[in-house]
Amino acid sequence: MHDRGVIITSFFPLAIEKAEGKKRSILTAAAVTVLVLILGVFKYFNFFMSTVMSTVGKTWTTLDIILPVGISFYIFSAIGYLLDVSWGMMPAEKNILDIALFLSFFPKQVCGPIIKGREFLPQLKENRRITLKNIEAGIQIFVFGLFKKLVLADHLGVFVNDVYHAPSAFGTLTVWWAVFSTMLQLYFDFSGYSDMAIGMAKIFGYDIPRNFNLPFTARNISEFWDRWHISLSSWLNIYLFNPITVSMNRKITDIPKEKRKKLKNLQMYAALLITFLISGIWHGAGFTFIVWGLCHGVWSVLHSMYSNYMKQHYKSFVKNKSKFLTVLDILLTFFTVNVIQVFFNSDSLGKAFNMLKCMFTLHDGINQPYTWSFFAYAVLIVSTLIAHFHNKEKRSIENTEGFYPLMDLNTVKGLSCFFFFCGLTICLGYFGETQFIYGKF
Amino acid sequence: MKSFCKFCIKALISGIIALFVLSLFCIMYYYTGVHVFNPNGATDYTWQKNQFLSKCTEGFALVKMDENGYNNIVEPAENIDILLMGSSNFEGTCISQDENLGYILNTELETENGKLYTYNIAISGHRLYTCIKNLKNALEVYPPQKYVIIETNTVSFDIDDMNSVINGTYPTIPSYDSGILYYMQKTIPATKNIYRNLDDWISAGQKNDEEVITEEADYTGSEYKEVLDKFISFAAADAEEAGVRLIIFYHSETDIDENGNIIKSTDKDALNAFESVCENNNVIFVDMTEDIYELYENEHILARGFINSSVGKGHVNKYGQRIFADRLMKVIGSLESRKEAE
Repeated sequence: MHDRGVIITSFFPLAIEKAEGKKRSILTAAAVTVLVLILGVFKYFNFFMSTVMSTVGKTWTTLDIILPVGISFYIFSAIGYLLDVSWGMMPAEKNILDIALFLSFFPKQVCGPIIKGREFLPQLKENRRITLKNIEAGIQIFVFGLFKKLVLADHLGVFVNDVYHAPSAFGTLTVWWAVFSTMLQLYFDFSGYSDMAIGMAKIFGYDIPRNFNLPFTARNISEFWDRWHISLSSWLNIYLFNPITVSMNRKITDIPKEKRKKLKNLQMYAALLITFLISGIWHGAGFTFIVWGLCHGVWSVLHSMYSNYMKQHYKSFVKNKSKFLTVLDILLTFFTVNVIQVFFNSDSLGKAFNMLKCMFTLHDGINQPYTWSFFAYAVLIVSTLIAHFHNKEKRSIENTEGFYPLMDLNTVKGLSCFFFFCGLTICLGYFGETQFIYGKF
Repeated sequence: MKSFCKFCIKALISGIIALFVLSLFCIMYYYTGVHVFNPNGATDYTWQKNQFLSKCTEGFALVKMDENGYNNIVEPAENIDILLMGSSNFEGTCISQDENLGYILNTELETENGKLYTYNIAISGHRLYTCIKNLKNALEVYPPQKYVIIETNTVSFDIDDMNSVINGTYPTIPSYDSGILYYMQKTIPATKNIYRNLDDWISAGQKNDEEVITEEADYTGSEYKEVLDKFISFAAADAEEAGVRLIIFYHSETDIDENGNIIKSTDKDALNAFESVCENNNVIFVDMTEDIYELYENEHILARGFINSSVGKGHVNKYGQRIFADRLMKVIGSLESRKEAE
């Protein structure tokens, strides 16, 4: 499958680059359609057929289609590159090996990040080498990711899986504790993998952009998606949301100004809903992902409406928000993201609603104040505070950015800390059967 | 070359510093020392004399072993009344020493004939096969006056293993108490934890690679029943020779289904076979299945698992130890009353 993807991604852009006008659009549409079809067959065919057949009252025997590793990340990278060439953002790459390396670069193969061609392909033209400086940084970032995965995510996974398996067996508080551990597990799992990918690429001399930036400090849903799975949200923004809004805007040029503004807003809301719906579908073949995407879409629309209204009527209030209200915004965003995540984490809609029922009804059951969740929260809070106070010049929540606390491994102090951290990761790590959550996407 | 050598020296010094700090951490987080070979044969191995144990990987416990390398805190009495044998579930190193079965029995077991002293020689890895293999020696080294209780978490046994116990060929569990790894684990606390985790990691990988096909034995078959009978009568004979009653204490593994109901995992045929063989050999069989079930049904508490591990899985927790003790106190109490009446 990968070789077919490489061929399409190699030859179509060359033809697209030479073509002009309508021909270019047709070629681009054809290439994107082929790539989407590949993704559709491998990932959604069984889901689509079983849904269609069940609506007509027939059964569908699932085909044994082996899902290629990291297909969603791979196809999105390829589509992004095709569109970049088509829009004249970058020249088409003539070397098929460079295209193959761009699409199948092993550190990001399993769960991304989704690298854009314009970010990665130019690096292949530069004289990138394995240097001691890169190894020093790369290995530390890698171990940092390993700690997140083995020590935090995998331990949290034990509890989250237990509760999601039989939510009605647990007391209400424990169910909530599991819900608040779910998002944390996903964050440490996925950002852990991303860090490992970034670290591994760095060792080889390549730079992969970061995928997470303290997402739980987001004050609203829009900011959350600027900080969470950045490579996907920026991909969706550039290659989906913007083109949809631009093409919709084109159709309303001859409408009076006042009406046009309202219509523009409506179009933006529609584009938001479509983008998040596709984001949900991208994550997996299942109604739970569709509902999850729609929930994020609806929330984004509501937030957009609310912020437009506030900007119009309470401009000074929005500008001079107190710290207390900002913290409240952060907590509210965190709470809502966690509740919506129930759909993402459930195997079926029935199980998701059962989980929600267990969350919102008071009932007795097993009490499990899982200690690894407390530990994970402690790590999250302390690291966020460190990041916050690290930026001495612009110390505000919106300017808080994550960073890798890299040490100088040429000193005894740096090496001792690094060895200790490696040892700590092994001592505290969970070594049962686990996998990367985003590996299945 | 010079700078490389300089870096190697720095790395060596840093490694030693890191290992030292990590060991300090591990003393509190996970440090169990090592098992040493037990020459008296009461168990295959023991912990080291007065060994300090810390475990925060499954539950939170700090434990100090007694002078024989077993988990007891009550001062040894001159005469032992009840001898406990079994695996880590009876040993109870995942919980405080004042919450484990041996301690509860020692402090709360009062019968019509007065207080009974319990000595616990249960130690990890000692399944029923090993306990029965060692029973004779255990009864000689730590002779109880009244009862010997052996714990098992299964009633489904392997014919070959039972035969090898009867024939005296059942293997002794190795204790790895010599060589460089032993000294490293003994003297550098971090080594044990790192070794254990890496070993788990490797075995998890191997487990994924190998497809294990297990063949269920025919627990209703005459061959199984015959061997099982010999196996239990072998143990009963040792107990009789020492003049004590043998009690076999069974507690099943638990799991919860999607609706939150407890799953009873015991094979009914195996349980019936075991129960009838015990009865035939005058061995008291205590089945904890219903007690575990009731604890969950009435109080939503599972007998296994801890707040830092999977729910309902792993070792027996303090609630499990409590119901074990309550049941044993009832059983022994009624046996003592009967004896008194006779």
